[in-house]
Amino acid sequence: MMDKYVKQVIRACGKNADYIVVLKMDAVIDAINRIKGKIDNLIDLGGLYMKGSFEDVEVNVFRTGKILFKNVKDEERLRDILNKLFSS
Amino acid sequence: MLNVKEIRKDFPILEREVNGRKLIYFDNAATSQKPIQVINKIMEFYTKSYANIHRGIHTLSQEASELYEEARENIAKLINAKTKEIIFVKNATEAINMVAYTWALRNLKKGDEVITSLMEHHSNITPWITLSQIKGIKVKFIGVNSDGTLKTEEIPNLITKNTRLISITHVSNVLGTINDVKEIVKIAHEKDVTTLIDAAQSVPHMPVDVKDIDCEFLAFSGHKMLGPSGIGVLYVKEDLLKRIEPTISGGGTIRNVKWIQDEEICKIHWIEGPEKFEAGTPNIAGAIGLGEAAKYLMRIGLENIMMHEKRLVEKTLKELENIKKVKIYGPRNAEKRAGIITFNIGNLDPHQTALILDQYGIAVRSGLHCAEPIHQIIKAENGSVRASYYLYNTEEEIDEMIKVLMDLEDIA
Repeated sequence: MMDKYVKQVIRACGKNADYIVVLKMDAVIDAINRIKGKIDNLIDLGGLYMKGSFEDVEVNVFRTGKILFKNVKDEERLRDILNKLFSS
Repeated sequence: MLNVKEIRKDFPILEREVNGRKLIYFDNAATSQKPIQVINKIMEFYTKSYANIHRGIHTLSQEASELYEEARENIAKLINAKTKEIIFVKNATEAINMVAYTWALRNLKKGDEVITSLMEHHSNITPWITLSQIKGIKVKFIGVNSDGTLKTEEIPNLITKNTRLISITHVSNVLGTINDVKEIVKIAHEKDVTTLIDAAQSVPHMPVDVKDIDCEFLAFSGHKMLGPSGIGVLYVKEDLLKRIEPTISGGGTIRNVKWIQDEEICKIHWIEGPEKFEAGTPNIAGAIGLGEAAKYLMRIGLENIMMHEKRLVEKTLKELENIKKVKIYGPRNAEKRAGIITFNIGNLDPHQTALILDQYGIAVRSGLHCAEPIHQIIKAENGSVRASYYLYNTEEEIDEMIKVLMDLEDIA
């Protein structure tokens, strides 16, 4: 499911295990609409980005179609999260 | 003073929009944009003169060889070196590794010491750590003060009778700190220690004179100084270059290979010049493009570029200090730092800040910038945001970045 929406996954460098997911340009709106309903405590921070959580992971959604997932154990866990978020 | 408005006309990419905004490119410490003169030079070479260099006797090969060697001359002029002291490599990383696996591998023995610092890019740490595993050499580190300056005073005490090399950055790619490499080389030479300068962040931005610095080796990348990627330079002092034998060899590096029948061996006679380190067909177009970039920089003037960047740094430092939650890393005095500003804002992760700026078409880098030890020292283990400037950046662009950062204050 995630392959329909995800163009690229970048492991951000730093002490924390963070990943940046770049969505496919033509699927950004659909992808964000899908995940919005599943992210807990989603808040809009001054129109700059949206922040919430999914299971034990912090999710930051940017209007450019990039999503920052903070404190993800590994890429396998990220794939699991993305599949859950994008499933109908 | 630079005529930035005119300079910007040479950089076609600066006309484009990113995320609906005009591109503001502040990631110059990672790589620089290319002027049309460099782009055209490469295109012209491929469309009119492309052939393999050296030893070809046909006209195209001679033209290509002339262009390649002309590029070497321009690079030499840029850093006040002799043409025969300029080796074309892939980038600064390869240049440093070349020193490690040619000169150091052959000349250093178990127990010998290499001194580097804690503010280095990984490319000036990992080759020495790897070499320590191969050869049993010891790697020592010069410390960093809380203001981001190098603890130069530690160097005389770190040098022992076993110290063979000091390999140090000219400008920190994280803090922008300008190290007094001339003084460091002087200290090293008093104890007969060889020196290598990582000039990846200095040669593109300020006058660098290898004769004045007096170092034995100096490394830099082409892509950070308006040139194409995949080309860089290792400067080696002439008398030393003559004495070093290459590790990577083959076509173009030898004068002859003689079969000695009685001994049943092949004897190699190396070429004397820098070509002995450029085995195989090199990045010809890259070198020619880099030569054009050097010409461009010399025409504008490195002193002018340096002063322009200092003005941008001064302005940024002043503006950032008005944002309460911003933590700036590195020297606060613009005289001590190159055009690199590194910071974090409140509790925001550096990647969050960079992704927000990206929404406004502002390209900055976030993370560890391939320099983890210095991030441990400045207690920014998850990285920092780095805005790095060049000759085409403007004060208005800084205003745009500051505006976004001020909005971040409420949520940071």
